[in-house]
Amino acid sequence: MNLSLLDPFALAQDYPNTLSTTLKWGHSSALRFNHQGTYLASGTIDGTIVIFDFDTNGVITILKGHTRTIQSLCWSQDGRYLLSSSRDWKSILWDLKSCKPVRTVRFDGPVWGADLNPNNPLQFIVSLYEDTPKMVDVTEDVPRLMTLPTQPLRPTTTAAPAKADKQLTLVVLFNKSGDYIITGTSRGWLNVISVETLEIIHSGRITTSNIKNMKLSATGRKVVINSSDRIIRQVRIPDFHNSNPSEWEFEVQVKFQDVVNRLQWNSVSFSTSGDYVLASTFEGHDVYMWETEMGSLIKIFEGPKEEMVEIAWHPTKVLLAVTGLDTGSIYIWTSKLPQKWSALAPDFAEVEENIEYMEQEDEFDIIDEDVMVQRLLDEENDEIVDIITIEQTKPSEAFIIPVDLDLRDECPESDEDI
Amino acid sequence: MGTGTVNGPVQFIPFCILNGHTGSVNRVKFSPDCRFLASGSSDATIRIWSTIDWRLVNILEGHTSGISDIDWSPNSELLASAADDRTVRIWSPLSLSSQARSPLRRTLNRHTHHVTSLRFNRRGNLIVTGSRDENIIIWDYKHAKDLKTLTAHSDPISAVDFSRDGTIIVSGSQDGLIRLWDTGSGQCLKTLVPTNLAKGYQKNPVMFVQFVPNGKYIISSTLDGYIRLWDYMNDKVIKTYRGHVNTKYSSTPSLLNVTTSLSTETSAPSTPTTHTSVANVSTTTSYLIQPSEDGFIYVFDLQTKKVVTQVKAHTDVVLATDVDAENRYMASCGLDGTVSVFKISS
Repeated sequence: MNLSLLDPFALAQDYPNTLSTTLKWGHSSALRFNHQGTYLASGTIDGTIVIFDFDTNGVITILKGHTRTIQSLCWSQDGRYLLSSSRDWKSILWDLKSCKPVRTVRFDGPVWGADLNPNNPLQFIVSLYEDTPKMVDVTEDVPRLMTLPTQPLRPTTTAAPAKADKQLTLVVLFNKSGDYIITGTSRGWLNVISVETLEIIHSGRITTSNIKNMKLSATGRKVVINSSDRIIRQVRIPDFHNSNPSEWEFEVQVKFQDVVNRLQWNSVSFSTSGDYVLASTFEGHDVYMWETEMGSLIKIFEGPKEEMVEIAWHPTKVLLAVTGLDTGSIYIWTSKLPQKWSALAPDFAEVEENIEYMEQEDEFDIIDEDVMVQRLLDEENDEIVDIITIEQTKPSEAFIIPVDLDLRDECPESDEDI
Repeated sequence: MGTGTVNGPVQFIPFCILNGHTGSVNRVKFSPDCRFLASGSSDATIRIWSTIDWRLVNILEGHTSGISDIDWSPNSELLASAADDRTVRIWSPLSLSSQARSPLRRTLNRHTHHVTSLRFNRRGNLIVTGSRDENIIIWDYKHAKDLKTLTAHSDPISAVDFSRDGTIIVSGSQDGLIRLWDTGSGQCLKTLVPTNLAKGYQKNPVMFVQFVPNGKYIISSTLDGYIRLWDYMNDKVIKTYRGHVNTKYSSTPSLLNVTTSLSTETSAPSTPTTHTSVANVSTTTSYLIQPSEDGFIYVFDLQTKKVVTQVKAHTDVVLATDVDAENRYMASCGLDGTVSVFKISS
């Protein structure tokens, strides 16, 4: 509602410019905004999950259930459910209405990452440490685990894979419509798995090294892939629905890298518009931002004096949240503009340059009060005003986590220095 | 809003009078779930009444001076009050003082003069307050923390409100200005100046402002005796209402939206074409229910600007009205220390 009243220059600004806030609650290791941008979930290294209300920057709820570092967090579309995965071998699906776990799923090893089906919050996929990835269905009380394949499909003409070619799935993602799974392996392969059959229907190799992490853009048309070869690739996702798997191809559109310093990247992310790619630097204090058309470097966010890890871009605002490695603080960059002073004085307008003012003939005439009153009243029209109909806005309204005044949400001091 | 079906002009039938306050009653407000009515008074108490049997359910005591404004949280679980003791208090309105847990949950302490107005946002996580200290404060009430102080008025603030989506705050002040603020940044977005239609070029103190339910317009009342409906995007007054008396007090009007269903049973038989819709045609009439200083309540038709009816409600100045979300009852309160309840019907 405020958009049409905001300064157009403020809206044109599409990336943040100042480090404005630091949120600190425990040692943050995972970060995720809900789809509407009203809450920020932060997972900590001791397994606690803290949800910040983004209107107040205050803690709205604390979820306790994990005992080791949180690896990933994922919100359901409506914001009611949150999936957390941890190195304690567990994934928990939380209902934020009660702030209690609805389902807890135990695996045979630490969980690397997880993704919730965008169409069904009771279905998710996980990648596990030195284990095969799984798809989990928690519709029933007892979770159903299904193993996902890892060995890529190869053209039948090539020789059977050598033993040394054994690989592991490191990252898993759902596509935007939730009917295909995209996985990345330790040997640089991307696999597409159909949710229906759980079989690999297409594979493509984009590099020869580990795929460390992978993020889907908001439109679902491209992924950004971070691999151990120090190159970040933006890959176009083929149209799964309107073309044959044999025609699919993972086309690397842009490569981002630091050719001089040969930096390794901790984590990558798209901006919400998909116009920028961000990456945090290994053993550096910076976050790099490139535009995705030509791959040119736009900005380096110079962080506080610590290494930056997890990156989260706000879904609606021009705002960037990044976690620090040493302190576990969450640093927030926003775009700040000065107050438009003409908003305070309605008789004035801000002009770019001086204008020769032409006085109107009757401009400073003193009008009789009655005439003035009548003139003002005449300006009204008899249009029918609609005060009830609500315009539907996008994104849809998020689930509201109830405010619990009894919740003690101070961070225990003992957690500070581990 | 309008769920009740009324044929013909709206009527307000006196239903009951709630006695008990020992001072002027400044504000009445139905809970969003329609189960309770809260009244805040100059006797420094808030009384909670059941809308089923109109009995007194609870008295919230703790403020040390008169209460100017109250508001329910959107889930009906909390009540906030603004008082002349410079504090804003958050209550669990149904917890009795005799119980182990006090009904008082938070005290927000930052204003340096009487707090005159307050509102929850629709998500229920923020409160905005206006004060005679000329400041507006946005609160994270859960942590009793003042997030932002908006300082651009030069006289006491008389009313504040959130837009439906919570992104804009409107404030009205006795300095004669209505300002719109961006909730997120705390910056002033726009200023509206209602011309004094009674005294020409003099300042026109704004005594009340609020957004309409869909947030597209602002209703303001000023001491020149006019109520205005603003199209704030275009800086335009599109309707003015007058007839009531408003020379001194800040009074709170309410809106009533009555949907009239025109039954299609008697109309021509529906044609077999698939294009014709035979659903019930309904029209919604909106009323502005304005307290007046002559003891009456004036009911304006929002579209035609005409006074539809006048209701004698109190023996002294009427200060506030409210309509429950189901359009069953209208409550009013005033300087005579009583709360009047009217049944709404055709």
